[in-house]
Parts: sequence; C-alpha cells; structure tokens
Amino acid sequence: MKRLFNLLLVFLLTGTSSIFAQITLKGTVKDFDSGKPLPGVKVQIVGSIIESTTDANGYFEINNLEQGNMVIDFVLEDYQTTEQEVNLTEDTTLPDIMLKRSQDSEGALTFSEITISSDDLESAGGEQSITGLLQSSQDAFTSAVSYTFSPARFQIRGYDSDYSLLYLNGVPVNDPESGWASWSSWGGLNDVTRNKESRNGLTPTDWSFGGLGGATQIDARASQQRAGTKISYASTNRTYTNRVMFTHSTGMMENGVALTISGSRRWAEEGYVKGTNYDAWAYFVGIEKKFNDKHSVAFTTFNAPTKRGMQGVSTDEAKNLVGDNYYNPNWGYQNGEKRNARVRFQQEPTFILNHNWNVSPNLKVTNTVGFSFGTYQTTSLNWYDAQDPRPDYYRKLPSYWIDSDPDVMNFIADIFSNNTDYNQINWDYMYQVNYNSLDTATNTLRSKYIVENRITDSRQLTYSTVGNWNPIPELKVNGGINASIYKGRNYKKIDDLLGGDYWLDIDQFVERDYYNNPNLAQNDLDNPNRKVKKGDVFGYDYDANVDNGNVWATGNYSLDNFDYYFGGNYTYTEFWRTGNMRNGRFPDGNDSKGNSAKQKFNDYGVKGGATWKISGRHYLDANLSYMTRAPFFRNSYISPRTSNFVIPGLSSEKIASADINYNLRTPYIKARFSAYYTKFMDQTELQSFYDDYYRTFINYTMRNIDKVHKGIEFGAEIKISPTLTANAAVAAGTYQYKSRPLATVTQDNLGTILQSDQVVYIKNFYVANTPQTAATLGLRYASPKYWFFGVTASYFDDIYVEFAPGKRTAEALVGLEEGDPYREKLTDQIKLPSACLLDANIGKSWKIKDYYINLNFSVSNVLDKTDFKTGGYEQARYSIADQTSDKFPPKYFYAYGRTYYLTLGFRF
Amino acid sequence: MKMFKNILATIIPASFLFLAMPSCVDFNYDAIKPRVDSTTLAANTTIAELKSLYVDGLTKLTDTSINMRDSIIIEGTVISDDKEGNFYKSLFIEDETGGIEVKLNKTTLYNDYKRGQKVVVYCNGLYLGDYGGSIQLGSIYNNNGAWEISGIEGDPLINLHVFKKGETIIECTPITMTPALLSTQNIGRLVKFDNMQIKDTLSPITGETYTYADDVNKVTINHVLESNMATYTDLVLRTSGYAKFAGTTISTKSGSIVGILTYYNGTFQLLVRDLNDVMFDQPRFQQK
Repeated sequence: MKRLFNLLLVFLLTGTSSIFAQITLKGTVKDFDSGKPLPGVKVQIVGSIIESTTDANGYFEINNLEQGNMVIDFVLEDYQTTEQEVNLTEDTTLPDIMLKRSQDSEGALTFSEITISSDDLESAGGEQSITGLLQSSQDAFTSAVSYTFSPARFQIRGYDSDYSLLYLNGVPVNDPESGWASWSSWGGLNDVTRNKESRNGLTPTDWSFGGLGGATQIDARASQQRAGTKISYASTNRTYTNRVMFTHSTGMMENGVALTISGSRRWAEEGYVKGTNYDAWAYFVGIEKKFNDKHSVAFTTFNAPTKRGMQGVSTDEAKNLVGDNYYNPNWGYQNGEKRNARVRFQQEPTFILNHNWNVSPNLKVTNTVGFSFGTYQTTSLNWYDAQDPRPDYYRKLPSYWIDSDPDVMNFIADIFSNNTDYNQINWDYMYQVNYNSLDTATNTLRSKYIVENRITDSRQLTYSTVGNWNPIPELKVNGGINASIYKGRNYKKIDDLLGGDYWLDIDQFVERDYYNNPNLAQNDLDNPNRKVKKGDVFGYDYDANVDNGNVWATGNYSLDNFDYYFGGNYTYTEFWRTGNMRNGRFPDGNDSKGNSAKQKFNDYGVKGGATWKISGRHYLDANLSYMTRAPFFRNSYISPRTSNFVIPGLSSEKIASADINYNLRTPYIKARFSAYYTKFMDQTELQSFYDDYYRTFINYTMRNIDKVHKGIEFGAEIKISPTLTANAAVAAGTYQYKSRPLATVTQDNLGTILQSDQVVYIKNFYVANTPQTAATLGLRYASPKYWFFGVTASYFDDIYVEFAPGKRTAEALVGLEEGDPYREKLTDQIKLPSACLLDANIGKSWKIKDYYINLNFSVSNVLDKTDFKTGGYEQARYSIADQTSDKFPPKYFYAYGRTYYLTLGFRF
Repeated sequence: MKMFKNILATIIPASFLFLAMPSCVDFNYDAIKPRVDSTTLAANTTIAELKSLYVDGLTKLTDTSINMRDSIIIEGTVISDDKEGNFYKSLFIEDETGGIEVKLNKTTLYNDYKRGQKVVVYCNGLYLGDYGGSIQLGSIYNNNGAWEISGIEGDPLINLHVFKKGETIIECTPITMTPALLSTQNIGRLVKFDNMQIKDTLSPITGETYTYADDVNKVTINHVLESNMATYTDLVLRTSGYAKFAGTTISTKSGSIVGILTYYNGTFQLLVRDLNDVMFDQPRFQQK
C-alpha cells in the first residue's frame, strides 16, 4: 500500500518544478462591532481548494502554503465577505480580521417555500416543492440567483433536487426513498443552520464525493455558533404570517463546552392562499465538548413539527371563474370555518453525534452517527360510490355543459364564480350523505366520504467517517466511507369518518369491474370486508427498505499554476419492499405480502478536473465526471401500494457531465462565466392516473429516458462605489429529452400488462417546470449610516409544461392524420409566456449599548404580477372518444403576487 | 453556572414571546350535525296532469303552461334506486295519479334520495319529452344539432328543481298488475306481477343459464316474462349491463316480481332495483 502511494507521488511529482516553501498563515477573525471572536468563518485561498475554518476563538491556521501573491476570502453567513490580498514569503500572522455584519442578514433573504399538492401530482411521482437555492454566497452567480430566482421555481442547470446532496453535520439528509432533499426538516431553525458550505456543480468538496448539482454541508455544531442571544419577530403574508425565533449560544466556554439552544414558531390562520393554515414549531439543542486539541464531540438534536393546509392546483377555467389565480380547491366551509381537506403534518426528530479528531496537523478525521425517525402525513378525501367531492372536478365546470342550453351553462358559470357551496368543498353535503347511509343490517352508518391520512413513517440510521489528509504540501486527499439503513412504512389511516361509523376496506374500481369475484376487491385479503374506524390502518401497508454503503476519495494536487483533482466513488444500494397486507389482486405467494426480491445496484462515479491559475485574480477551471446512480425506490415498483413487482428493465441511470468556468476576482468585480453539458441516460419514471379508455387506474412507467442539459451561466458583482453595488446574472440553458422512452402500461387493479414497450415520442421535448432562461439585475445602496436599500429585476423565459407521455404514442393518435389540428393539440408541448418580476428591500440597524436591533422590510413582486405561470402539468387523462384533452386541460402554478417580509431582530 | 444564567436569560424573555402568541392554529373542526332538508313547497299539479301537458317534441314548462298558475309543482315518492346500477341518472317518482321518470345528470342518486323519500319537483324551466312512448321530465341538450331531453345539469340545477320533503321514509306499495292495468297510465310506477317466470332460461349458444345481462360487454338484456295466470304480451325484464347483478344467473323459478314499469316502442319493460325484487320462490310452471 505504501509502495503504491510512493509510486503515485513520484508519478504526480514528475515534471513538477515548483519548490514548496512550507509557509504557515494564521490569524484571528472578529466581529467588527463587538470585537468578539467569530467561529466558523471559512478562510479560503481564492482559486484553490485550500481552506480552513476558524475555531471557537476565531483563530485559523493554514499550513503548507506556497510563496506568492494570493487573495484570501473570509466568509461567514450574515457577514459581508471580506477579502485580503497577501504576498506570502514567510510564516505570517495577519492582523485581526474584522468582519462587518451584512445589513440584510435576515428577512430580506428569507426564501419562501411553496408546496403544492394535488392528487394528480402525487401520482405523477412528485409534489412540486420550491425551496430556496441555498448556495454559497461567495459565488457571484449563485449569490445573485439564490433568492431572486426561487419564486420562478428555477433549478440550477435544470437539475432535480435529488442531484444536489445535502448534509447536516455530516449526515446526508436526502430522503432515501425519493432522493429529495428535505430542507423542511429544520425549517424555522435559520439562526443555527446558517453556516453552510456549498460547492457548485462538479467542484470537489472536503466532505463528500458530491452530486451532479453540487453539495451543501450545513455545520450546526455548537462550537460553530456565535455566542450571544437573538430574538426576532417577523410578519409576512406568505405561507405563514408570523414568526418568532430565539437562539442562545454560549460560545466555547472555559470548560471546553459550547451550548446552543434555539426555537421558533411560524404560524398563520391563513397564508397567502385561501384556506392554507400553518403551524410550525422547531427546537434545536446542540452541545459540544472539546476534550483537548485533538478531540471534540458534538451532539445535536432538532425537530421541526409542521402542520399546514395545502395549496392545490386547478385549471384556468376554474381560476378564471373564481377570479383568483391562487384559487385553492382544497378547502370548504365547515360550520362557518374554512377546513382544508389536504393537511400535511411532518416532523423528523434527528440526533447527530460527531467526533472530530485532529489525528495530526496533517490528518483530520470526522466520525458521525445520525439517527432520525420521522413521519410525513398528508390527508386527502376518499369516497365510495358517491359523487366526486372535488369542487373543480371537470363535470362541475361550465365547459362540461357545453351542449346544454346556453342559459343553463351561464347559470352554472355564475354559481361557480360566486357560491362557495359549489366552488369549494361542500363538507355539509358529505356529512349528510354519510348520515343518510344507513346499513340496516347492523344499524350503523357506512361512510361514503372520508378523510384519509396517507402516512410514511421512516427510521434511518447513518454512519460516516470522513478523513482529510495533507501528506505533503502539494497533495490533499479527502475520503470517506458511509452507510445508511432506512425503513419507511407507507400506509394510510382513517382520519375522519365525517359523521359515519365505518369505512369498508375494499377497492371500488375493482369491485365495479369484477363484482362477481369479491376477493379481488379486497385490500386486505386476510381480513376481508373489514369495517375500519378512525385511526385504523387500511388500503395499503408496506415497508420500503433501502440500505446503502459508499466509499469515496478525492485527491487534489497543486502546482504553481495548476491544480488537479481526481476522485472516485463506489456505492452499493439494495432495496426491497415488504408488504404488510395481502392484496386481493395479488394473493399468491409473496406477490403482495412479505418481502419482494432484493434489488441490488453497484454504482460508481469518477471525476476529475484542473484549475489554471492565470493569476491570483483570474482562474479557469474545467471538470469532467461520469457516474451511475441506482433508481430510487419510489420509481421502481409498478404499483408500490399493492404489489412487489418492479418495473421491467430496472437499471441504474448513467450521467456524463462536463463544465468549464472562468472566474474573475478584482477588488471591484467578482464574476464567473460557465458553460456546461450534461447527459442523463437510462432514467426511469413512474406515473399513475385514471385512464378514460380502460376506465381504471393505470400505472405508466417509462424507461430508457435520455436527457441533455447544456447551457451557460454568468454572474457578476460590481462595486460601482463604496456604497453602491450591482449584481447581474444570466442562466441560459436547453434541457431536453433526447430519446424515445419505452413505456409499460399496467392496470393497477390487476397488474395486467396493457401495453409493453410502447414507444413514447418525446424526443426533443423540453424538461418542464423550470425557466430555461433567466436573468437578473440588482442594485444595492448600503449607507455608512447602517441602512440599505436594494431593488432587483428579474426575467424568466422558456418555461415548459410537464407533458403527459400517454398522449405522445401511436396508440393515442390512431385515426388522426398528419396535419389534423387535433393531432397537434394532443402532441405539442406547451410553452409558457415569459415574465418579469421586481423585488425591493430596505433595512436599518442600530446599536444601543450592547444591543443590536435590526429592522428589515422586503417586498417581492412589487408590481403584483399575479399571472406569472411558473409551471404546470397536463392531466394524463384524456378522452379517447374525441381524441382531445379539452375536458382535462393542463393545470398551472402561479408565482405569488406582491408579498412582504418584515423582520425585527434583537441581538445581545 | 454562567451557562445556566445565560440560558435563563434567554428562556424567560423567549417564553413571554411564545406565551404572547395565539394559543393554536385550529386544525380541529366540530362535526356537522345531521340535518333534515324539508321544503315547504307543496304540489299544485298531479303527475298525471303534468304528463298530460306534453304536446310533442319537447315541451318547455313555463308559468303559462297551465292557466292561472305561477308555477308547476309536483310531489311524489321515490320508487327507483340506483344503488345496484340498474338505474342510471334517473329518478322515478310517483303519486296517486301516476309515476314519471325525472332525469338528473348525476350518478349515485341513492345517496341523496332513498326509496320512499318524498320529493317535490319545481318544474318551471324544465322540459317534458317523449322517449319511445314514455314521458320524461328533465332538461335538454344539443345532440349534434338536435335538442333532446336530458338530465338536469348537476347539483347547481338539481338543487333549484328537486327538493326533499320530510324525513319520513315510507316506501310505496306496488300496484298488483293485471293485463288490464298494463297500460300507459301506469308507466313509471312501481308495480308487482304475481305468478311470473322468465320464459327462456337457457342460452341456445352456450347451453348455460342466462345471466340478467351481459356484464362482460356491459350490454343491456331483455328477458321475456310470462305468467301462468294471465296473458301479458310484450312484457320483458330489462337489466342494464352495468347493474351489479348483471352477471348473476337468472332465477329459473317462478313467483312475484316487483319493479318500475317502463315502456319503449310497444314493449313494456320491468326494471328491478335489486334482486330482492325478484321473489321467485315457487317451482317453475309449465309454459301455457
């Protein structure tokens, strides 16, 4: 092993003329106002991968530096990034670096999180979640786009969130079932999750191999929190209306202990969208003990229980009639109160233990064990042999009555526009139907309408070890191993029988089609025709088991003008389904109950790149990577709720990616220009929806999906004067499908294969629901008298609507000649109009004795543009009889209109 | 010790903050109480009178339809039941004078209107139409240029025209039929035939006993009914392919049968609501 390493060294050193003077740079970073030391400050040599972090005393030390000119950045969330130019010739201790608080540290930068739910979306494999792009603020592009682009659902390079890896204190927090990054797990804990380190794209990191879309590490250890107390209150009209938050950190005390506690509550009786109530609490406790210079142990625990009424999506017809683009079909009046049928509750208590071990000045090892158990619950209406209770169901809209007497149609339009008994959920009707549903044999009420609660209870244990090793000055090796065991139990429970006494646990679609074979309709064949009551599990019940292990390593090698890196990654993944109910459609063996076969995947990734340091102020880097990734559990089973069958041809997807970046750093201009190209191969997608032709629910799985994402990014921050700064960013990309995927269509009822290898003609279709073109320009005035004002304008274009693949098949077009307008209507992808948004913010801070007070007010979408469609999806359902989809038009998401965020904070 | 002071210094003001907040955002709702819908509208027209207003084609019911009346209001008792799927978007009601099919463009009507429920129909604005000799009450729709009778368009319109009256459920007693009573004025009424059986029970093609309808292809089937006491011509038992009992083999015995009497182009059709209406408990009789 040692010989191998020596060989590697010789290989790397060949041709190297540079002689490394092993210079050490050290110093202390303090708060400009208070003079207190600042822990957790990132000290970065610009244009290199060399960096360090200040300890609890604000002290940092970087060893093994080479001679020469360099620019050093001092970065800390809430503080203005400060740079220093140094000409190193010998060991140097810098004078104390004083960081000034950035004036818009709170509020102005609080991103809004919008989560939209609907039955269609859930089955289409994803709820549309918009979260802020929390990226490193020291990058000119990401700092410009982070907050201004998020209302438009902008995704950097068009990548889904599961390509960006997110870590908290070393624990990966992407959901193993779906891959989604779960920002909401620590919602409301902004104070203690501010220390973030992000890497864009393929750039290597110290703590992981990284994802395609980069990696973010949140360091919430107690020693990394600034000593002091913070209390703040915010008023807003977004998803919540009020927020209170407090945080206290001791900093590293003389006994070597640091303690941080934080808590918050965010709530709204009604948010921006009608019928969306919100109640979120959060707590955080972190304690860290530094035993000596070599060992410290940190324990962190937090949870953010959140409950809220969800926003729904609807068609333009319904929205126009109601006269509200934020029309929410999810609620209705119950005894005069707005009741939302779709209530989300989630929480995930998390416990993390870190052991930081400085083995030697050149070797640092971090061991982490994390455990979390969470629940994620969403209520929904369900009904049996009764009218569809959704107010915007297509048969309730005037367009369905197009062949009626025009007066009647107008009357229906009028009533839908004005009467909440019809344009919102009619709870009263459902209760009365249930009261009227007497089962005379038992003298009990069989509920026709219920509220059910779809639940995922998860447990995850993770372990990781990360080592950072500097064997020789020129070489930095990072590596680690990690493993995770996950189990998620997915089931549903009766939440509310709406006045009835029981619900019969059978599948009504199967019952209708196979009336004379009652066993088929049983959801739980071992307990047939079960009468379920409030709190009982019914419908489906299975465990998703996902285990994986990973080893990775990257090596960074520095020359005078060039840095190289190379990295490798291997991941083993296995998952299986454990059915806890024997389904009547799949009664045999372990087709539905018991363990499915284990799906096993071996995945690897390689990446490499080089940075050419043209000078300390210009550098050019290029990165290349190839990786494979196992499919996620959620996309792998034909019908995970009912059976153990995986989709045919399940395999890892492959991703090849390259980018090239030019960075400019002068005292007045910070800029980055990038070009990238990424190809995804062999992706898999699953949708399930009601099919008009088969008159039943079908599962639609596509495989062999290839996509290409390519484009350019530009970002610049220009200091026009000491008080005036301009920001500009442009992202112009093309994200397209580049293959004709093969679809397998199965009937959910019986698992019967209706179509196999159906060709889906979507080559050159665009990836939906993110602007492929976006630009922003902002100006900011920061007065020396501690107030600031900023305006930002942004532009979004090339937003496409998620298409329904079933309409792009030969089967859907039978009888429609080339040139038939219906053909185009059925097959063309919808592009949404471009839009401009204007944001503004203003703030001031005061210092009164030892108290700091800051007041910030920001307004998003100042011009109240309420017709900005940020995305949408076609309904998969279409009427085969007339081969149009007019009855089932697309549903759209709209960006919020004018909203504000006002924060008042105290710090002492 | 300093640590605890620190914590206290934070927690105390923080607790005040939290206490000042509204105690909770309400996610709990009181159940809605059972309620009896009962209209105060009273009939001013009998069902037989209403049917007599039909002229031809489509007859719109307006306030001038009957002299000196502002409105046409009928009252009847629900006799149909779509729970088992043999009725589709239609409600049959009857009073002492006759029965009529009220077409509603809504499914699962049994959730709203149980058998025996008294309902009042406010007829102004509705239409009468003739479907193969049966008078129907409903709305109209444009079927490729031709206006035809159709169901009242969903809840917003149904709630303007059809009202429940009272909560007492009293099921109608069927009229026991004789060949003489098998006439147009009893169309749309609940009737009972005694000593009946289904004439042909075996399929000449498969050699198996017939089912009530074709549940595989969802096709409606007529089975000829015969009696050993009286002679009925052109009387069939009609069952929808969508009925839940469509795939059930027919009863080969004889006895009484109850159903709604309908009529289409010379044939009287009996529609049962479920198989409890087929009370064939006697041995099969010899065909006359």
